[in-house]
Amino acid sequence: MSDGHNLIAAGFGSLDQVQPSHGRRLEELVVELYATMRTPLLNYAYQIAGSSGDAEDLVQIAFLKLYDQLSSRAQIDNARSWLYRVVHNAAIDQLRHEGKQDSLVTEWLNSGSAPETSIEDVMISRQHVMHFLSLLNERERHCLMLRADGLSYKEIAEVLSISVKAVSVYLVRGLKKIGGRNEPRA
Amino acid sequence: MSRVPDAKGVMTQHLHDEELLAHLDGELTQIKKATTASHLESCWDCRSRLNDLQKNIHQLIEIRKSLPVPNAYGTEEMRVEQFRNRLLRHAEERRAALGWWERMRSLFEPSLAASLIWIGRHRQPALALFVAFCLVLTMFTDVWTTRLSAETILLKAQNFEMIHEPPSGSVLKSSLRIEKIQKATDHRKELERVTIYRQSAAGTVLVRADAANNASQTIIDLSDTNTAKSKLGPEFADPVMKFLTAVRWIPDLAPTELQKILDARESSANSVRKANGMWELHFPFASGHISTISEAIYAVGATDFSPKSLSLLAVENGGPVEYRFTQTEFEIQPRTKELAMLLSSSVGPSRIDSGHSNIQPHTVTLTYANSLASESEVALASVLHQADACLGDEIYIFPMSDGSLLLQGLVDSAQRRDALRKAAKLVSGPLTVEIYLPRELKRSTQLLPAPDSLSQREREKSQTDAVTTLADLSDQRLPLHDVLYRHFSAQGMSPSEAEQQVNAFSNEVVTLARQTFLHAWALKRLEREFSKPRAIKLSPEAVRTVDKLRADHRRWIETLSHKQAQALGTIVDSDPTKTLSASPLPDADTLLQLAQEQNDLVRALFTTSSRQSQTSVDVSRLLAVLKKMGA
Repeated sequence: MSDGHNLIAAGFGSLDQVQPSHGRRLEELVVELYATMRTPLLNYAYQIAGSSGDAEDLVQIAFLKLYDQLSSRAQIDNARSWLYRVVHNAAIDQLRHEGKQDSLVTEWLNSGSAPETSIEDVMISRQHVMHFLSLLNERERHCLMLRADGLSYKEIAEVLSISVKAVSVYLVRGLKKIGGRNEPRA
Repeated sequence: MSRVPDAKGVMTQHLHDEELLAHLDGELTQIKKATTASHLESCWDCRSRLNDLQKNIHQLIEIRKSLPVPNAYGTEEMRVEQFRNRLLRHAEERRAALGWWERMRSLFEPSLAASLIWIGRHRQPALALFVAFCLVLTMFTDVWTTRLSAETILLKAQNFEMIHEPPSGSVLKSSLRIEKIQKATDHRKELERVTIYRQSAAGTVLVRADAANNASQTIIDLSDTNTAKSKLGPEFADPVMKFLTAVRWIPDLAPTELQKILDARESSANSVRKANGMWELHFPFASGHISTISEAIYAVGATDFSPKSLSLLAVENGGPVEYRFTQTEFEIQPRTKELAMLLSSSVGPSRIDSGHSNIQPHTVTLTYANSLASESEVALASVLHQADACLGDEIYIFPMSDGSLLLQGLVDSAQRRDALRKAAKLVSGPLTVEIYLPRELKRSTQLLPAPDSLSQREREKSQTDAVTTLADLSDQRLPLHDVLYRHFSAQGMSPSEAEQQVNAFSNEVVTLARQTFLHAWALKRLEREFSKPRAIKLSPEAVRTVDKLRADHRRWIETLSHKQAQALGTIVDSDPTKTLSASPLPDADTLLQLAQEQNDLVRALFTTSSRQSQTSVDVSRLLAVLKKMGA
């Protein structure tokens, strides 16, 4: 039953039907989880590593690792933050491997956006994004992205290996920078 | 900053920004929550700062929407399917590896412990035995001499090839002497000398056959057996020539070319010898190989691993013969105007353009809309169909402007790729195969957009659907669980048995539904690829082949739907399908829609999910859909 228990603990549903002898159920479960979490993880990986690596592959490998963990009966307390952490670390590795400090900024500036948008649109959104990026440091950006993906402070802390207190400080700092003009009173 | 004096100069305990955000995010403890709420009620200052934070959150969300998203290839559904296959394979490999490790451990653990104890007790005899073992090893084997495996040597030869890739603006020239040697009489005859020019930028390979006097310059087109034979010399035995043509070998000693021959020898044995300062790699062919070739011997330099010669040992008129290709020249030359002309003329008669020094990309991919289907396209589609590449793999056949075909796509394992490459080799006609593994794709732009507009539309559709939020799935369960459980319990099964049956049954139905969907998708793709306007030039034979492929998928859809309906019929008593009269089979579009619907319904009913479904309504709906698909 331990396959089931791990995932129950992870908040991914009651799996009373799961029998350890039924290896296939675990695989189906991981696929289901992949279908649900693929898009946010993919976007997150891309936001970190840009196209310096294949974001899809990063995400898939994270899920294969999750499967390995679960089938070897290792304890995973929260599958969501676990997956985000694996993807986060892999994406950062990828980025460092390419020797880039911050591929996101350079890449979005150099590469064209979606073809259907007009030139003005691209310019505006690029300026906007550039402005936004130049304000935030890496930690603030990661915290805000993860929070926007719906992760709790505790989960964010687990993904980034920092304290919950630090998460809330980064979030506030990041948000104030975004606000710029309407910064709360000092 | 949170302890600010208010207008009256009274010190009020204002809230920290962190506390305000935690309040918005629902991250406060129960006690904190209450005090914060009551403070906010009374304090305008904090409330206004709270609103500011809220505004900033809105702004962030707006910015986030404008962030680029990764290029997706394939639909969401296809992606999940591809991952499912990858995971199943991964699980399989993992189980196999674990099983092996366990076996080894159980086998060796006791004997290892026993021998350690023995060594501990008898140190001197153990030492003597070890020395004796080493002596035997040295005397009767050549374990101390440096040995390399054939694979390593090939890799090094490939490395050599890469190092000697001509820089832009120059051309790699290599010449070969081709000889035929009658082994019985040692009679040698020089057949030909050929010169190959290679240009890295365009990847062009030009083969120029030099007659002995260097007068005639002809381009060998190996795709045509007859002319190839007349150019390479009539001395080549038919089966050998046919084989070399079939594998598209270009008379060149580059390891990439050699690989074409090795891939088709139907054997994986090899051995290495060192002779005359060269590594001799022996690659035996499967006995009774259709080419009559018994062995290929590839010689590379002992130190620099440069290719020296290739010998093909074959049998002709009962006697052994050797075709030997020896490298006589290998150098990088600047690309002269004459060479440029020669290179560009190899591309095709319309491309001779001596004025321009930089070669343009020669061919472009066409879409279905602006090309006609060819016989070889049908043949390729047919072999891919047999290899099941039309189900779930993201493989497309692209018609090219020069009439050749490009097979491009993404698969998730090297074995799968090898299988597809092998299948593609069965097709005659010029064909380029570019199949990638996900990790090899540095950028998704390496993959061309699918040659029809359908996938593009589907992709957009799937992207709008892709906004997935993570719901709380804690109350999820199998919607049909109770119905199934009752059904199996009623047959007198024990609770655990019934539970197992429920799982097995659900797995089976989900698998059937998935396969049905994949067949409907494949059918739709066939309809697009060999649509009426595209198929007008096809011979009746080819049209029949295409029809057979279509019929195949339709039959599968019917069979699979039928199986599902049957399985469901045993579980659910009511049969609303009886009221429906059987209608003629729907077209591919409708079938695809139906298949999508049945897949979704089955997913909703038979997998644990958060979707709330009204099981009775959904089951009858599913049965109705299956009926429409020919169940």
